Amino acid sequence: MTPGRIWRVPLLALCMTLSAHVPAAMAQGASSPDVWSIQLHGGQFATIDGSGTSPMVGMRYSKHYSPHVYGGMLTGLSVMSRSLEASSQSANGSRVEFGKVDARIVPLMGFIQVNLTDKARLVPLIGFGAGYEWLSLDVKDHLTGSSTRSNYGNIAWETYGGVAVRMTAKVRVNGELFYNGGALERRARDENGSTWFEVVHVNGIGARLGLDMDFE
Amino acid sequence: MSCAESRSPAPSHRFRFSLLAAWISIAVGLLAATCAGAQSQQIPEALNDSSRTIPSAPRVTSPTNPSSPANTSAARVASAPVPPQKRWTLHLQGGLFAPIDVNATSPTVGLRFGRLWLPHLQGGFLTGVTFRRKNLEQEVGSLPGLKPQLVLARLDGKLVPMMAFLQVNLTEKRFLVPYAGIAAGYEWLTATANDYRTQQKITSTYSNWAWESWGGFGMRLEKNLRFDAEIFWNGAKLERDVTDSSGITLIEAADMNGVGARVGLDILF
Repeated sequence: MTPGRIWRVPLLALCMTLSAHVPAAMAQGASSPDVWSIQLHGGQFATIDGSGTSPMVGMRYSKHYSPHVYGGMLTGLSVMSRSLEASSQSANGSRVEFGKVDARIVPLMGFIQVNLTDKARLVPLIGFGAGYEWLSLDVKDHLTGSSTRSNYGNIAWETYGGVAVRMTAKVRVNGELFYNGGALERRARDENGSTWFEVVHVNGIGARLGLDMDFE
Repeated sequence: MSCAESRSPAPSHRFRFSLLAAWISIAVGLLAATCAGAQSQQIPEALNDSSRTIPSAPRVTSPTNPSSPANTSAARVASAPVPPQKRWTLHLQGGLFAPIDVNATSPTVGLRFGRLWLPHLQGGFLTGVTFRRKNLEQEVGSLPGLKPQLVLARLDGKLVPMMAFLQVNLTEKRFLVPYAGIAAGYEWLTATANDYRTQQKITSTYSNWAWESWGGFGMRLEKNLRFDAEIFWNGAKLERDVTDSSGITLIEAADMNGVGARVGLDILF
């Protein structure tokens, strides 16, 4: 093993420990044998590098390892559209669009969520997800008529916290703030044949509202 | 992180010894966890204590009449498998770490695997990974919204501790559990620098003895589950040997003293 790969040792230990013992340990405290839930949510997301907010929708599908701990997969879609514009010479104040950028961000992550109580009507919750994220960037230049599409991807993470309001025994309304962290990359080749990394930072914060439904 | 040295170091004897010790620690830890898991499956639910107190072994009085029903049941209790007197804990955590010399936070994940030696005292080993990536970037075009950047150079750093720890839980009865811990062991830092303009790649590994301390609060969610939030301090001055062009060996150091915050789940099994 080279020194550069030494970090894989604890990572391997972590994976082995998680896969072997955590499900068994969590199951000891589980009050319900097999409860699952799905959360559908929507809201706004704003990258730190971008300008303005963008709409997002998403879902979390999870198993209840205990009344307090959920684990599963999450995904979603953030759509971002920005234009390069200038004022026209006409008197009605219209604007001329020179170019347009459409972006779509899709995360696919494993997550773990902790509900800090299971007795009160208001349930504070906190969660963390890690996985992969993709970005599709469509650029249209109206001046030259050119149109390009670039796809970026990388490992990314997300953390969120909020409050759930228990509506019925199986339905909750969740309000959350979240942070998305990622530097999505693609390989770009220049005219000399050299390969470069091109990166888009999608670090940002957002707020969303969702419906969380249990089923067995 | 000072890692401007361009030599590719051969692993030293100290490094190899540390790596061997790390592997042995992990193997022993996983073996112990496997044994604990196998034992816990044999324990009847009734004997699985609902608190973190150590269950006492059943007492058997001296027999006066071996054939009496009471003594028969006592003998049955005596021959029943005795539950283990100590229990295991696994703490999975994630958070942010900021070395004092680096003006930025880095994500960190890790685990503590230990045994509850006393109701208030647990000990074991901990490990984790702290990642740091820094790019030298140049903006591509002038697009509105998301701005793609060209990566001219990149530095990746990974900090890996491997330590033994002791942790004191200041209460075992209340919902909020204040706790504090200290750990000592070895720590490695691997720094990889890539300059895509000159196609140069440099990897440097630093290591040394290190220590860590932490304090925080745990929220008891269930009998075997706790949600912990803590702040921690990492103390280390990691080093590597560098031989210059005149053959003189120098020591290059990276200061990894810093503070961080993390949250995690503490699972008792």
